[in-house]
Amino acid sequence: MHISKAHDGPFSLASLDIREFESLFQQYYRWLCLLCFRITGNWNEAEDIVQDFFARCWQNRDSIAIRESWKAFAARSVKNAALNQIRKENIRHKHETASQHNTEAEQEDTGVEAEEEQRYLDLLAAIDRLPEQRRKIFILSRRPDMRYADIASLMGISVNTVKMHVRLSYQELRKVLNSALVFFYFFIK
Amino acid sequence: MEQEQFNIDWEKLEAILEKPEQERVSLIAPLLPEERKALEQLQQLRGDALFTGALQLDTQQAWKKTFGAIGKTSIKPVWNFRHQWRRWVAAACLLILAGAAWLLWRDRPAGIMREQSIQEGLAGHIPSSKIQLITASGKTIEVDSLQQFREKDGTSIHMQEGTMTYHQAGASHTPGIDTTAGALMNTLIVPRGYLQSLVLSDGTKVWLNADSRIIFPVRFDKKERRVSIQGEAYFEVKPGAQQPFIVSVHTSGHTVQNTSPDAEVQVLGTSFNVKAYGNTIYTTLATGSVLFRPSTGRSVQLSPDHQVMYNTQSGTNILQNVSAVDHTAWRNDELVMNKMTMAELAELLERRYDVQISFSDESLKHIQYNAALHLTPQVADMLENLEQTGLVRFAVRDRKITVMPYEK
Repeated sequence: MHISKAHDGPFSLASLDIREFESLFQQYYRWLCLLCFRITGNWNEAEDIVQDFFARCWQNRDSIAIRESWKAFAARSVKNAALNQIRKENIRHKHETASQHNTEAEQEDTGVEAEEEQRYLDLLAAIDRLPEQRRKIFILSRRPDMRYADIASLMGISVNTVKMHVRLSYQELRKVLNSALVFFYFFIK
Repeated sequence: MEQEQFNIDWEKLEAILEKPEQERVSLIAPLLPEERKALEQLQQLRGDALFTGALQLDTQQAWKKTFGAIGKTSIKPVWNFRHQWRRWVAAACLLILAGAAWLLWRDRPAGIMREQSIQEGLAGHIPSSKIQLITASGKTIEVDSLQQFREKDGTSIHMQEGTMTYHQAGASHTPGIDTTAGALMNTLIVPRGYLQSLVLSDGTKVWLNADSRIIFPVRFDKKERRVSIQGEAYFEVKPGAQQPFIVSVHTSGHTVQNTSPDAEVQVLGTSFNVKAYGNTIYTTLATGSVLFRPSTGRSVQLSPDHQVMYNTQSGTNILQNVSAVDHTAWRNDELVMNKMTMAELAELLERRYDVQISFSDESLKHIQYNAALHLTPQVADMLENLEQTGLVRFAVRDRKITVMPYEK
């Protein structure tokens, strides 16, 4: 987490070594996939786009000039790639009329959307801050096919321990949700 | 307005959400306002398919898939042709060990779950502090952000392919540069988890191992070239008969400043390794000749492939024949273990990767290794390689590593 401070200002990829780049990947991978998924509706495609984006960043790290923040740069790059992907598919499937409407609407970055993206980023970051074991249990607990008893036997712990970890995770995530919800209520009124 | 200490019964709330819509109303009615708010948040968190979907992505797997090749292409073979045979011996040893490990592994039930946990448990592990340079004026610079720096006497410092290089200013006086300034001293601090190479202004090359520091003058204009080290360093000293090169060695217990060294190594032009982490100073000569001068006891003249072990507590020293290549392999990310105990290995890994290693059982400390291994960039890969020997296994919890007995 030691490079987080640099993400809101101008940013140079050229100065990163592979370990720092990996930490950047780890912090942003899920979030960028999520942004792509909202456009493509397919997790596999979203993952491909984001992996491709990181691979190109690393290959061209000396020549990429990031004028805005890393966060804005990464989000814009993968969203554009996702939109291009959709256009290509639309042309192939000749379903242009219906979906092109969508893609144009997506391109306009509204304040609400940016706020929601930030909320996802905060939530994913909060989950990454959970202790290792707790994070693993919480992620498993979000899977529809996993019951507490399944997680308990998989991790070799008691059901009560699983419950405790999930409870503590909620408590931690609530701190992030609290500040995000204040905004949402304000906006609805 | 917020009751921070309010204890929410998440299980109860989850149970409510499991119930059908009609039943919920009667269950929600008796809830306190704080509980209702939490219920709303819980619903939001659970119902958010996007968020849940993103959570299930395997970041580690994706990183390996996309960048798995990068860390591995940087491996450089250290072995020169003189020691080519060792490589084959090491390879044969590893093959035998791998075969033995496979035989043991074959009978293990469900071993796969745990193997992942080393990688997951140590994913994205980076050392806690960075390499630092303290300049003559007392300013601290992080070396990874250093591009060029100029000392008061005009000596320029820059990074050349990862090596910090000192260049003495020309003889001609440049305005604004004070060449009469006394000996300007710099300190380079390499924390656990890093290595750093350095070229001093006289052309002498120094490799510093993890958890080491060196104090040296920016330029050598005295009749002696004198530097101080703590930890482990390998020197390739530029020959200079008029200016003998002297390394003052301080064991880790002492601060380098303001204390007299535990020993000195005097050289003319040579390459050698000094290791002083604990109470013992190991000086190993690769080429040339050096004089080892301990603070107490007699001096020892070393020839190539000689190693002197000096105990700073008892003041005794022992001279032995070794293979110097084995003791200097660390600077090329290689580890040669000759009867190295698991305890010694754990200590080395702690420094090299900035990790914490403990033992579930004291007897495991005495396990001996005879092998040559590549020190992988990631600690998780290193531990997995060591597990392949079938002597121990590693458990990771909260980023702390525990050495466990190997179970069938």
